[in-house]
Amino acid sequence: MTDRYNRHIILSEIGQIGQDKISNAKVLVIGAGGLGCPVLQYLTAAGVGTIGIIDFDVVELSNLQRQVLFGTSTLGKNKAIAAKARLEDLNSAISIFAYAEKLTHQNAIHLFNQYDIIVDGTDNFETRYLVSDACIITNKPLVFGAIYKFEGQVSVFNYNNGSSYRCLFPNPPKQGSVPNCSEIGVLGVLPGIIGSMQANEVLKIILSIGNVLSGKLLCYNALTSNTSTLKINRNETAISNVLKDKENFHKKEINFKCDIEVNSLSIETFLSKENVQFIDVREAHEHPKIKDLAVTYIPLSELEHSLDKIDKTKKKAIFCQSGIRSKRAVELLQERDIQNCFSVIEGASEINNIISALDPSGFKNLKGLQNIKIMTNKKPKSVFKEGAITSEFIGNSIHKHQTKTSIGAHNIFLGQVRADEIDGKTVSAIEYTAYEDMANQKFHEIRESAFEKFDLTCMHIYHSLGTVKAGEICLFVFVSSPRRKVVFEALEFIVEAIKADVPVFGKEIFEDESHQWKVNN
Amino acid sequence: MHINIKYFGQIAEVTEKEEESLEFSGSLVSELLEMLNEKYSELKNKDFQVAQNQELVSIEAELTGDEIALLPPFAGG
Repeated sequence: MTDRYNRHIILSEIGQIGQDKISNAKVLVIGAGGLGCPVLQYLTAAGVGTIGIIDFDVVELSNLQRQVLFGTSTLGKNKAIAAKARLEDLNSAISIFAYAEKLTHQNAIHLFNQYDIIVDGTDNFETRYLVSDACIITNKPLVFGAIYKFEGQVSVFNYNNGSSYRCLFPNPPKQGSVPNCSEIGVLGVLPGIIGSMQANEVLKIILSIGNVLSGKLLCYNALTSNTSTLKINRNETAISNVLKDKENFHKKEINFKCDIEVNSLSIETFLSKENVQFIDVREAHEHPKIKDLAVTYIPLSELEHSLDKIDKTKKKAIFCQSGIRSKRAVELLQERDIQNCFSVIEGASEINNIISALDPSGFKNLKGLQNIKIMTNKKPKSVFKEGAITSEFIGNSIHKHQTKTSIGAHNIFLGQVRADEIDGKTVSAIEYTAYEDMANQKFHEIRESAFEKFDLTCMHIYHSLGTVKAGEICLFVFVSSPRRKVVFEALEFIVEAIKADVPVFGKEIFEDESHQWKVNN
Repeated sequence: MHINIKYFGQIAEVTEKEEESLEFSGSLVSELLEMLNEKYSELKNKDFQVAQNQELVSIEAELTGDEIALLPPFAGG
């Protein structure tokens, strides 16, 4: 034990007392990505006694360029779990907890309360504001790190009444206005440098030595090797606003979930069709180009002034590097009343992979592809929710769409469990089960065909599993469009398809606890 | 051939299990069902559809898949 930490202990600033402080510390790292990996590696090596890792994502090949805890053997594995396995090999004398889930407004407070220091290694603004607000509410110091191409930033927030993230940026930037790493790229060593600086701040806080980067933002430029430090003043209003709204914190949801649904379809859907205009909204210098597909090039920055290049008679399949700018482009076109615009889910290199997996003889003639079904490794997202769907959840869903001002009409279907009376007995609840994999596949097919048939801006389906009492909601379908007429037709189409095609089973439970099986007619 | 069979809803009540895996030498879905009818005598009184590798198939279909599911009438929504 002493041997392991010998180089710490012989430092007079640390000693055995300092090392004991490190052993007693509890640190939670949000995100095991480019920043999280070096933070975790050094905190584990230093012997931080309790380390939590939360990350819902899985290891991908493109992560290995900078996420140094992973290797080819962990591809496809959850990052929190893979990191824990690697770190336990590095130091088995500490406790490491892996949370393979998304950080949400519902789980953040409970989780943060179990740790002394929170480290932010996330890659999107929505989660950063969630982390920051939860740190203000739980009064935990937040060690912040961020990277952009060749530049990085480090700071410590909420430390001894210092400034907070909201003092620096009171409100989140507009969605899609700032690209992330997968969108714009990053020099692999940069998160290594910034993450190591974050680990350094964590250790200084634990040991109470040196000057903690509180009230200051350190900026580092990897190309010039320059660092500069900006002063951040505490903004009392921004902080007290968060505290004032504390009671509602757990009711909030990260908004960007909805964007996944903005007319997003797989490239497969379009390859098999005629009358499609493929539009690349990346800048001219960006690679890879799409081989063997007739593409119109309109960078997002020029789109507004290039509307004449858009073919109004065709379906527009818009793509970019990762699927973020293409969504912006769809929104922009919808705002200008141009219909039939779709954002392609896949990024450019994935599109190339899909195309090259096709029979090359069929390629030039799009019609020839009509019956080819390509398997992508994208799993359809689950629509199932455990238990009843609450009116609060439904209200939140409506709220989340109010930033999307191209929408002119929503339509909602709510299925409610009816207290049927059968042979003198009354149904008190339905217990739902499903053949989940097949059901999610069917929901996915219904979704894709609804987008194809109707001019929808977005759609959401949620179905309960488990027990739903009479009077509670078990199915929630939500469609939105610029125009009212389509939402009526689309909703009926979707609900009927769900009833007919999705393998969900319902056990009607009577008040005397006997049961019968429900059948759709 | 090694086959995993999944049972749902009222079918699972008859078989008293949610899944099982067994060796089967027949080549048609109908042959597999005959065998299951013998094993679970109540099964022939039940309505159900058959999915092979998560796609609905007719009982005349050839057994190709390693996952068969017996699906009673749907009740979603």
